[in-house]
Amino acid sequence: MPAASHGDVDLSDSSSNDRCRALSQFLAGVEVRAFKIAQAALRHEDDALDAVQDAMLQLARAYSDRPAEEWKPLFYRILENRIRDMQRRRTVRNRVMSWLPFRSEAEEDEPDPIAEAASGDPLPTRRLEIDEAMAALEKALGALPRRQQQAFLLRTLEGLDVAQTARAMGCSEGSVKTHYFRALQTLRAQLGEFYE
Amino acid sequence: MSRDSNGTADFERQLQALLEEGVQRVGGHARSRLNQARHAALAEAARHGRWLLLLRATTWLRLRLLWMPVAGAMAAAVLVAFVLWPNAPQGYPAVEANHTTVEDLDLLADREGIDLMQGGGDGQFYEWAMAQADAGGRPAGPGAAGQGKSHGAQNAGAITGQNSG
Repeated sequence: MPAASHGDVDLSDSSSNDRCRALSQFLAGVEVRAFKIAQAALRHEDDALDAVQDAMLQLARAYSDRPAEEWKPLFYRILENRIRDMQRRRTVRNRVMSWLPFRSEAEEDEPDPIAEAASGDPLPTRRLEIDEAMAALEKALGALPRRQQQAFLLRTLEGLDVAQTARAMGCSEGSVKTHYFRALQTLRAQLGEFYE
Repeated sequence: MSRDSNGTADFERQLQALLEEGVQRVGGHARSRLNQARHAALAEAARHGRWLLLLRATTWLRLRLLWMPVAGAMAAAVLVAFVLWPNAPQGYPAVEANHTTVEDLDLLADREGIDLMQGGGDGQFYEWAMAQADAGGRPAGPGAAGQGKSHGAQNAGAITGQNSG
């Protein structure tokens, strides 16, 4: 949906309007994948949504006037920084919470029934297979070192090329290839049974 | 090797398909929140865009206001320079040359001066002048005019006496 249709987006400049529309399209195209990437790293839906929202706001605030082809690496760079901040904060919080005697395990991650609701509905057996494979993949992804996980998801899920991934991760292209290769090796070792 | 790379490519494709399936399965709650986040970001971009436009406009205005007095002062300086240029002093050598020329003309036109130079006048004048110089060039007052003159005459006589002797 074009940005001009929203009441709070009203630019006098036509070029600014075009830019806003382009930004809207970009964000709409990237938001769900970004959420999945954040979720794989944070393993918490609300935290992942917060991270994606912060990254969107930061991109719009600081980089919306940059060329549109730079947005994707910039956005994932911002998202990665947000994820890292959240992980640090969570580590500190967990350390503090572990000292509290009245904390129960049930408080941690209550599943949201709406969030858990699936949008597509394939055949039950096929769906079960996919569910199992997906659960195994998420577990294996969660066990990967952060940089390997990031390189793998940016390349495979988001479809960034090596150069864009390197810009998003803030490292060299050689490092991206190494991280990606190692991630693939690990995943293949762990998930091979699902795909042989 | 080729089989292994084919296997890896297949494995990659399968993982990719599975990840895509995961994207498709993202629930309504998450999609709704992402939608809200996108709108908030767009509103922020619009605000930022307006602010940038305002900043650019005010920056241009501030620069204009800053440079206007400077440009005015420079224009005034150039104008004053053009106005005063023809009346500027010509410099010391030119004035001296004119002065010398006028003096020379006066000397040439003065008949007495020529007579004096040719020795047609009395040489006593020169003797008196030298005596004045020897005496320190003290100006003679009006009352002492006669004294000075007689003193000068005596000195002149002494000099001439020495010369003749």
